[in-house]
Amino acid sequence: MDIRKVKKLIEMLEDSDVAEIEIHEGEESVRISRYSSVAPAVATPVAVAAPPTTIVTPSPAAAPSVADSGAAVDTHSNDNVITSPMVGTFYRAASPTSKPFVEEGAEVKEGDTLCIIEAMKILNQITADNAGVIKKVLVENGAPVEYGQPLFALA
Amino acid sequence: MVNSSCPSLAVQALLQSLSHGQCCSLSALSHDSQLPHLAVKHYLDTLSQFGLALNQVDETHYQLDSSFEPLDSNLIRQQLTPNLAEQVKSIEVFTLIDSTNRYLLENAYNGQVCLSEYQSAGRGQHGRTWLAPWGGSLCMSMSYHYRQAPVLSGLSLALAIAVAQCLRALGAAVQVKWPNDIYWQGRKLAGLLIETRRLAQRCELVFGLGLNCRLPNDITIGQPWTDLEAALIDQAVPSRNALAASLLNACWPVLQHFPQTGLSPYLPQWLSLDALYQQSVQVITPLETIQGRACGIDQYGALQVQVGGQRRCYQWGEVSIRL
Repeated sequence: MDIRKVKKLIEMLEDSDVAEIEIHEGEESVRISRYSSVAPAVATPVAVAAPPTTIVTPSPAAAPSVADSGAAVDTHSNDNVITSPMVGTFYRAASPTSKPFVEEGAEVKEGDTLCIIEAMKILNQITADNAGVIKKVLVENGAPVEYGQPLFALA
Repeated sequence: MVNSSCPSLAVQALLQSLSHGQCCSLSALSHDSQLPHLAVKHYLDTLSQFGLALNQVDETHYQLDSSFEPLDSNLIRQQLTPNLAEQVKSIEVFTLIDSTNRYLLENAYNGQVCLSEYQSAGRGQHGRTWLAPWGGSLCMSMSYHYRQAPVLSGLSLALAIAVAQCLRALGAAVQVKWPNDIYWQGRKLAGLLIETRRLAQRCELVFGLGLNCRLPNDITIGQPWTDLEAALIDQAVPSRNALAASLLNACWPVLQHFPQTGLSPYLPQWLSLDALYQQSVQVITPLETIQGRACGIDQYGALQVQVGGQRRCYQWGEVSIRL
């Protein structure tokens, strides 16, 4: 996983009240948790099949930056983070004038639409793959998102 | 046949009666639609307000401005290839609908086609409305469901190529403006929109198309536009039913095979259809606005722009030609 992505994740985690998040990309997974005594560790570097615009460079250099942030990263968790299946623009509502599909604190059912990611005029409705409560919306409306970027933290 | 409890069918019957450009009496229209005289008057008034080019010849006679063939699901189905006729489960024609894409996204099963004479809230890119005057355009959506999560990056370009090739076969020398607008002589002729719902075990896709067939000259759309009548120059515009069938025949195989083929078989065709190629363009993304020279697409469909000594790729953004 790209170290910049890990850094971004840590920053997002620090700005939120989420205790930990876990991201899966293919066979690789990263778990970042805030309050942990576990020594910082880097995710197992495994090649990830990703679209061309995502640069995936697993690197040992990840360790220092992770350590700097004071957050711990390991590879096991049950937390549910919904990640972007593609590169595109993130929209929380069907149109600029409509209400967002979900707000923080909202309960969602499996199959409920959470957001739209637009890429080359394909509007992709991203749905919840499990029922849960939206703990945190991790991306701002209208922001570009990358493949695998966390969009929502579900509890 | 038709009754007043289903206004859409009654209105479609009224349109059928008027469609050959003949002058029709109120009594004849009332008979054909099985609606009372007052209801016929009411519907025709409403249709005129929505842009139907209808003349009231005198108190009791009506005539359409030009010969007008209403959309007809049977006529469309008859012109599908045998393979497609099997795969298309239903063709629904509405008189009035908010958006054919919205209808299919919410109600669709696999292999459904939906057309409407008029869309009150046709959808363009991220909530922009697509304006469609009565009978002057073709508004059509189709649903295709995939198992699992197909990689569809570049599909919008492949579909634009299919639509462009189809219109070129009719004699309209159209081009494609990245990512998927159909242009003729620098003016927009048709717009495409793909919407998907990604679920755990499948991906439901709806592909919608709005094509200007014959628009009134005084219409305001907010950007340079053209219609098929202009693009075909001296040739007659085919009926919208024939057009719908040709477009379905052209686009369906792309939807069906794209997850296997990807964009690569379409790249050579893009080169010959690219309206932006070597043009000076402006690209607006949420992050920046840049100016440069368009130089085609990469193998994934991203727009390539030469900015100074650097070649950049854009997967999203608004592109306009700088004059």
